[in-house]
Amino acid sequence: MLTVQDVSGRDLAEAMRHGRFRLDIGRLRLKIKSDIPRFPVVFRTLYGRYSCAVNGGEYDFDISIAPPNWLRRHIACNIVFELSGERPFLPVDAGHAHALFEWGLNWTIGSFAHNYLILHSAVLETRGAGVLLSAVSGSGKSTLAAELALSGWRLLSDELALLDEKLELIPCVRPVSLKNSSIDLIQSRHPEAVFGPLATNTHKGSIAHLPAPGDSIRRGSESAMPYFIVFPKWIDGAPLRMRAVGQGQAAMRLIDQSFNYSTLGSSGFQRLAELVGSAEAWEIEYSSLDEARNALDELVEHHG
Amino acid sequence: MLAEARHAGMLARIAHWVLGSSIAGSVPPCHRGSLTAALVHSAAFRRDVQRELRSISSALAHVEAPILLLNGASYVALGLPAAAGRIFSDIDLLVADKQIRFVESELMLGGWITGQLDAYDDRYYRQWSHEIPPMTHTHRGTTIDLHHSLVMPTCRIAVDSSRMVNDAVPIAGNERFWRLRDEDILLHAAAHLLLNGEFDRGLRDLCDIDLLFRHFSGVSAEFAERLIARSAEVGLDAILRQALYLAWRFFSTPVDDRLLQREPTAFVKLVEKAVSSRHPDTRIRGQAMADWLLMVRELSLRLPPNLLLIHLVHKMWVGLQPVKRVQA
Repeated sequence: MLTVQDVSGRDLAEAMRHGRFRLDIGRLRLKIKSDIPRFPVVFRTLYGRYSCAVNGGEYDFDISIAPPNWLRRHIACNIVFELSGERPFLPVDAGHAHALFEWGLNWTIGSFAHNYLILHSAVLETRGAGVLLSAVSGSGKSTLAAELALSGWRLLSDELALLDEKLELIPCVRPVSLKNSSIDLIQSRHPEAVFGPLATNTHKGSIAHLPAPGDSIRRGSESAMPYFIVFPKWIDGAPLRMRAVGQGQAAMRLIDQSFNYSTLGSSGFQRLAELVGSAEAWEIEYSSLDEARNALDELVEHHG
Repeated sequence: MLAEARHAGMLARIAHWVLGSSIAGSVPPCHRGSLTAALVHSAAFRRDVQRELRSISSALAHVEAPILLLNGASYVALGLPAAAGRIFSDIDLLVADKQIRFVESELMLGGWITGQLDAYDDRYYRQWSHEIPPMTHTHRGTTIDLHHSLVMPTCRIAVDSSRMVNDAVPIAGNERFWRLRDEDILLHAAAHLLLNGEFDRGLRDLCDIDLLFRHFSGVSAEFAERLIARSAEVGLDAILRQALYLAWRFFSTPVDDRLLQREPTAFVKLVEKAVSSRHPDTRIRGQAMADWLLMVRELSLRLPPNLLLIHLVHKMWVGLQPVKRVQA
C-alpha cells in the first residue's frame, strides 16, 4: 500500500498538478488537484500516513485548491476551493491553503454525504466504546479531542460524526484543527507532536493542524458503536463537574449541531432517537484537561 | 462521471434512474453512498418545494386570478418524471400583467421581499423584463420569480406568450395553482433553454425536454401532432425543432422525422458545444468562445439595439466604479 510519505515531494506535486492524485480517508476517496507549490509540502506533513495513488483512479469527490485567476495568482496571491468545478467560498490568502482544504472538505461532507446523519461533533473510541464530543465552536471540543487522541484514544473525527443506518459511527480521520491558545497548550503538553504550519489571521483566528495518530489512520475504516454522548464545556478556573443529560434534551442539543437532520426527514429522526436511546449523555464542565481526560476514562471504564 | 453529474446538477436524477432500475444491484458499494445521498437530498428538496407551495398558496389566498406554476415547480406539482431528482433554486410563478402589483404585495405580507437593487436594475426588471426582481423569504431564504410573461416582451422572436397563458388550466386536485397545457410546458422549456444566454445547467434542461417529450408522447398518441400545430401558432416552431434536435443528439429522444431537423444551424452547433460537459477537467475546446457568442446573441435577442446600448453602457459604468466593500 502506497502512503503519501512514500511519494517524493516532487512526484506528489506533479501528481497533484496534473489531477492524478487520489487520497483515501477511510472509505472516502478524494481526487485532489492543486498547483500551489506549498500545498503538497504541508500536505505531506499532515497526511503522510494515508494511503494514496498518484496515477489516477476512482473518487467520490474532486477537490481543487487553485488561484481563481491569473491576476489573483500573481498579484493578490489568493486561492479558491473548488468542488467539481463549483466555488462555494470566496478566495482566501494563499498561506491558508491547508485550512481552506479542511473547511472545504467539511463543507463537502456536510452538504453531500446525506447517506449519513451528520453531527457537528468530535468522535473518539476507547475500549470498544464510541464517544461523541458535541459542542458549539469555542467550547474546547477539538482541544479535548486532541488531548484524548494523544493519550491513546482512537480518533475517528475531530469535527464530523457520521452515523450510518445501522447506527455505527463511520470514521473520517483527519488532522485535528486547533485554534489560538489551544495550539500552545497541546504543544506544551505533548512536545513530541508535530504540527502543520500556523495559519494566522484567518476568519477563525490562528489555526494549526495536528496530524491524526498513525494507529487511528491505520484503523480508518473501522466503525465504532456510540456508547456516550458528551457535551464538553471548558470554563477558565472551573472545578470539574459532570451531570447526566436526559434523552430528550440530548436529542435537542444534537439537532442544533446537525448538518442534515432535516434533510434526512423521518429517517433522521429515527436515527437520532435510537442514538439518544442507546448512548448515555453527559455534560462536563472543566478547566483542566487532565481532570477531563481522567473523568472520561473512568466513565468508559465503569460502563464495563 | 459522478463529478460530471454533480457539476451539471444531474447527480440526483442519475441516482433516481440507477437505483430505480434493474442495474441497482450491480452498483459497486463505493458508489452506492454518493447515489443514496443524492436521493436523500432530492427527497428533502421535494418536501421543501411542496411545503413552499403550500405557504405560497396560503399567502395568495385572496388572489382570485389564476396563478401559474412554471418550470421545476410545475413538474413537482404535476408529479411529472422530469421532477425526479430535479434540484432548482427558485419557484417560478406567472400571473397576468395587471395582477402583478397585487400579487407582489400579497407575497410581501407573506414574508417574501425583494432584495436591494439599484434603481437601474429595478427598472430593467420592471420595464423591460418578463419578471419582477426575485423575491426572497425573510426566514426561509426561499426565492420566488414572479413572471407576467413567458418570455421577455422585448424579445425579437415574436412569441405569442399570452396565448399560452390564456389556455392554461387548473392543476387537478389543487385549488390554487394553474398549469400550462402539455404542449406549452414543453414549448416553454424549449424557449427557456434556447432564448436564455446561460448554459451552465443546459444539459439538465435538455434532459427535462427529453423526459417531458417521452412522458407526454406516452400519455397521448397525438402529442407530436398537437405540438407541431401549437408551435406554429405561438411562433416557437424553429425553437422547438432546435431543442428537439439537441435532445435527440444527447438523449436519443424518440422524435419523429416531421419534428427533427437533421441539419443543425450554426447557432445549434454553438449550443451543442455549450451544453456539453462543463466540468473543468473535460470541457471541450471552444466552449468559452461558444458561451460568449451565445451571451451576445441572447442580449441582442432580448433587447432592441437602443436598449442594448443603454444597458451595456450602464453595466460598463457600474463595472468601472470601485467595488463597495460589503460586510458579510
